[in-house]
Amino acid sequence: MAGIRIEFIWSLALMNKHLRCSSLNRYTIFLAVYLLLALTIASTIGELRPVFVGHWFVQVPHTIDDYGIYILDIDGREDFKPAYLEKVIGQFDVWSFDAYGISQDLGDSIERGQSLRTEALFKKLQMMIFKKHRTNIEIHKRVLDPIVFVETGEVKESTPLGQYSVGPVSR
Amino acid sequence: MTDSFKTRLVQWITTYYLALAGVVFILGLPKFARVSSQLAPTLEWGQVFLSLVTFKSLALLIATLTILFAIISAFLFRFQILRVALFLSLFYFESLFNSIGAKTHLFQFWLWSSLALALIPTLNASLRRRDFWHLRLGIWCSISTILLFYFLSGFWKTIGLLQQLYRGETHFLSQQGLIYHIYSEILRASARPLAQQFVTEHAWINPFLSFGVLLLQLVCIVGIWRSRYHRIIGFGLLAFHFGTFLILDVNYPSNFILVLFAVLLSPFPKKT
Repeated sequence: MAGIRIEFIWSLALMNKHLRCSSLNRYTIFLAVYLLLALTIASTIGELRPVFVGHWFVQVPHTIDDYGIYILDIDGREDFKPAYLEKVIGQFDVWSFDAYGISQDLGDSIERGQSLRTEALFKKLQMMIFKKHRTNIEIHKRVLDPIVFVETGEVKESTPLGQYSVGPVSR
Repeated sequence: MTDSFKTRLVQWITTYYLALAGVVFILGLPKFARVSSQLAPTLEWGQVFLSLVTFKSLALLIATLTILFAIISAFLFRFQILRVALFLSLFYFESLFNSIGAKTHLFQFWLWSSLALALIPTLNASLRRRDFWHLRLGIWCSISTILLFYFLSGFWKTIGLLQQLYRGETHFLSQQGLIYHIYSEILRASARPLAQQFVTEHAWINPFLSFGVLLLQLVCIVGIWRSRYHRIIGFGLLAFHFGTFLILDVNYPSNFILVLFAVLLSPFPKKT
């Protein structure tokens, strides 16, 4: 909500006749205020959509500290070996980047104990990824080296945050 | 201001809005059409509005409104209210687009450069001298917003580089730096970069590529004061986007189009 509030107050303020300086200043003030906002946001929380999103590829990700969906089984198939979602993403009809985004939001909400948000995210997860397959999953907090993970699927550390069943009940 | 320059300003602002409508239509509508039936309310700020109105097709409606406002603004650009309306609909479009799952950078530049154009007051029907003065400043501000984004992106990369150098970690200018970025993109987005093998096998080239990116992004700030460099900076930014597509499979057609005509085809070829 903070993003909405900042944006609206700012855009309304700029349209207010009483706040207008000379026309030249209006444009330069816009750039200066934006620069200040962007610098403040980036130095405190990194990125805040849609105010500033240029805080990316900032550091080399030699170690990634994130959340992952660990798939235990799909539709009770015996030939399925448990793996992280990223390694079996081809079996689901979803854009990987969407799936990764939801995984991070979900892991974060579970760890913070935000039950309402977690419930909503599970609905979203079910509709976007697991709508066709009954799947048992674990949400892991993990630490990994991206090169090692992509090549072998192994992570340095992983801590399960909970086990869940998602997807249609009967097929 | 010469008459040809005035014509260029009017052509630029018209093209800007038509291109925006096209970009939203081509990139936004298919995505919204695919996911609008799947949206579930969450407590993410962008979807709070959506959960309040509980209208799943709202996403498509906002995308359509954005396209309509952009087209109308192209032909009636002198009315500020239309440009403000476009900015507000683009704001919600961007918010919803980032609430689907992935956080994207697709429409960020359009949003802020549109706000810069929304600051231009309503112009007189006969476009007098003062109106062109506003138009010129608004367009300059819009292009400067884009250049500021690239500069800030380079600025924070430089800070990150210095921090990792200080800690003795693998950094952006090291041979492994770019390779880690590639694998991170493969992990997050299942990227399949065309030049992955080349960059991995010829890692000696990576520090030069990384240095080039840093230099280009930092130099963007010069374009704010020296508009005669818009074209060369625009050319560099297009090469940068093509390079990130080849090496990282990071594909931003909306940014590419914006840079193409806003910076490369800037109406300010000479010092203003």
